[in-house]
Amino acid sequence: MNFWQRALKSITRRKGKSFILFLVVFVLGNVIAGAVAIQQSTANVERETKKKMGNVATVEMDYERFEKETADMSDEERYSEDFYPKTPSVDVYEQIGELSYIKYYDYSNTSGFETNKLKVYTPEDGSMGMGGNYFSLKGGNLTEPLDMREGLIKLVEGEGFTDKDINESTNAVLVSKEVAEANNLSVGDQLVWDIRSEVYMDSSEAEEDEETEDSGSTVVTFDYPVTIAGIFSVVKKDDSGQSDQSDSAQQSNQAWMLMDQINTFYASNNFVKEFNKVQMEKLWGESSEDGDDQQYYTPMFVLNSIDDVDAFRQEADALLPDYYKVVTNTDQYDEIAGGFNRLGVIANYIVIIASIAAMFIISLVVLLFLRDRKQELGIYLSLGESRGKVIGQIVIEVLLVSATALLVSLVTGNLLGGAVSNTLMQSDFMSPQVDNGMVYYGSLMSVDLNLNDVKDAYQVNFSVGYIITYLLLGLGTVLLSAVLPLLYILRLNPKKIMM
Amino acid sequence: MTLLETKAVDYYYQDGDQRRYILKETSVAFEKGRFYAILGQSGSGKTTFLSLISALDSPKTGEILFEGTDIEKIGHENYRRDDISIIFQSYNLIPYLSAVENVLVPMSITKNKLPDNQQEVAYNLLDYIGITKEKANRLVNQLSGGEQQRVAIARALATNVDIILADEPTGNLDEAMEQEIIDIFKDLAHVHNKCVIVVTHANEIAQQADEVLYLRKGVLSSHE
Repeated sequence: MNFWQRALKSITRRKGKSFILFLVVFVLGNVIAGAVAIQQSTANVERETKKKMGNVATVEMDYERFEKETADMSDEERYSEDFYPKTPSVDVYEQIGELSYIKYYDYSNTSGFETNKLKVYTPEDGSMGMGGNYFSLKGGNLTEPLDMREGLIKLVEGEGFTDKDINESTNAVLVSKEVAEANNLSVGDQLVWDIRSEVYMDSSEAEEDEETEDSGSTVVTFDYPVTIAGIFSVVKKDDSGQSDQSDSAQQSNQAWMLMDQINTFYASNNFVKEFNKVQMEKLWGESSEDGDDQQYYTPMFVLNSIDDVDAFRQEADALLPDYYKVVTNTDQYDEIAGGFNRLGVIANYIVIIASIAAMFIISLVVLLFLRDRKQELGIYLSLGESRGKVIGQIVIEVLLVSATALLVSLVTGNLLGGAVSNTLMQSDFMSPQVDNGMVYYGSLMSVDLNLNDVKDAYQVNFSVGYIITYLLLGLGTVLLSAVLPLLYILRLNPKKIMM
Repeated sequence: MTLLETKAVDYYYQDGDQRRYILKETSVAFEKGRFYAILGQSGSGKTTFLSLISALDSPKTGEILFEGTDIEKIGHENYRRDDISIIFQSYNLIPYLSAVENVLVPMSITKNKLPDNQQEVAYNLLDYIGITKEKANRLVNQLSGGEQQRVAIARALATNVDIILADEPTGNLDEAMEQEIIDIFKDLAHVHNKCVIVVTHANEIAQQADEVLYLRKGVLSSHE
């Protein structure tokens, strides 16, 4: 009849007290398990959603901070040349690109233009149109553009860019399959972009092929020769996993993004720089200096893992000039699913508070039971049993009953967490409260997810993380709860009890 | 041969500057095979004396020797576990265990060498003191007071120690039962060569003991 056997007999033969302890741990366990389930699920949905969003970062100006810190400046200061912070140089982007968290990166010079005859792609059903032949032009430093590496587009014809196209000034461009078909273009074709632009300027400043419209604006036209180095197709994302509840605004956004992507020409940064220079001269009669500081580049950094985001942000921010910051596409998660973050925070608080409360309540219950068993404990000590084994018996009893209660509440608490989550999903609680308005279209930074997608991905289930976290937390709480009662046993004086 | 001996044992409570002595200069020796009765009125220090020789407390001065070794050196826990057994007036059995399980408890605690068939030994011990197997399997709170005291005696015998200490063992029993318990103690001392020390105020026990010690005002003597 060693202390193990005594513990088992005590549990099974003192059913009432075992049941009370079971009930206390079960009730508290449900609260903790429910909160842990929600906590794990919010963390999981965040991680999974961010994985889907990708691990891309860019650099942008922190307008909010800039406006806040310059709010008190005088008009004189505001009109000074160095009022606005200088954009980061290409060198900075290259330094950031060398950080160990980066899988690959590029910085892109962009432009846009309207043509007379070169036709843009619009959906056949005529549901969308831009009212003109508006194209985007996207530069880069890679022979395989970043959008291609990341699976946004796929080269379907031609060899694409060569090193010469990227490093020297050639007029090679990549065109989408749809635009190529609409204009009967093939790889190797040389064509001219018949640029047309309506500008509001003094007509005397316009150079060639210009006409003045009735509105007072001036239409400037000029030709720009290009060679088709390849034809790409836009990789359409699989929407089968998307929520049926996706709102029409999101569907419309996606359609616009797709159309914009199709109507984009890819070229080298050198090409875009040269094009911008020519366009500036043709439209405004100004010749720009041939320097990088006149160009605006958008960097894109593809990270090795989303786990690197925080570390990368910290190191990259240190390299950037003041008022510029790193923005990752996963930052948009907070804007889309801010409610889940709040739910996770609340669940965290509940776990902490419920664990502390459970510790005190279980301590008290065990202590009361021990006071009831003082005589029994005195008998063991008078028989020469070590205090360690007496403590061992009590710990085994508490742990066995508690572990049973925890295992049952592992299931019921999960159901509770699921029920609470479902109720919250149907309320306004999950809606984002802060709208920073930062939405990216037509780039690697764009995210075609909405709150309903995140809601669909949110699942309270029996993940390994949930089971391990809850059982460790539960058993840890119960063990800590036993500390106070164990001190009581250490202080027991068998003479006072027995005689 | 002396088995247990107290040498100039003092026990007192400090009351301000004054010491209130419960036991003073107590020296006595106990031998195997004898049945001792320690008599005294309430508050005479009988229970304190028993708590000292059972290592539930320590003397303020003096020493208690078991087979010539100070029990402080043996260690109170070890001494209680392997060298003595105590029988209490209120039986002090574990309520959620059966009679036989109560007897098995000290067997699992002691380091003394015991036979492997402990369950059988426990049943035999209970049988020896008059508890049938059927009753041995009952929870102890389903037994009468006399039966519970018998179980307590069987438990005291379970570790096969030489010294049996008892504190008012018949205090809660009727006369017939009291005599049965006394007979068991006499048998343990005379047949099984145990040293049985009973603290009591009952003259019936004193009359049948081999040696009677009187405790009066903290002083132990063999004269009434």
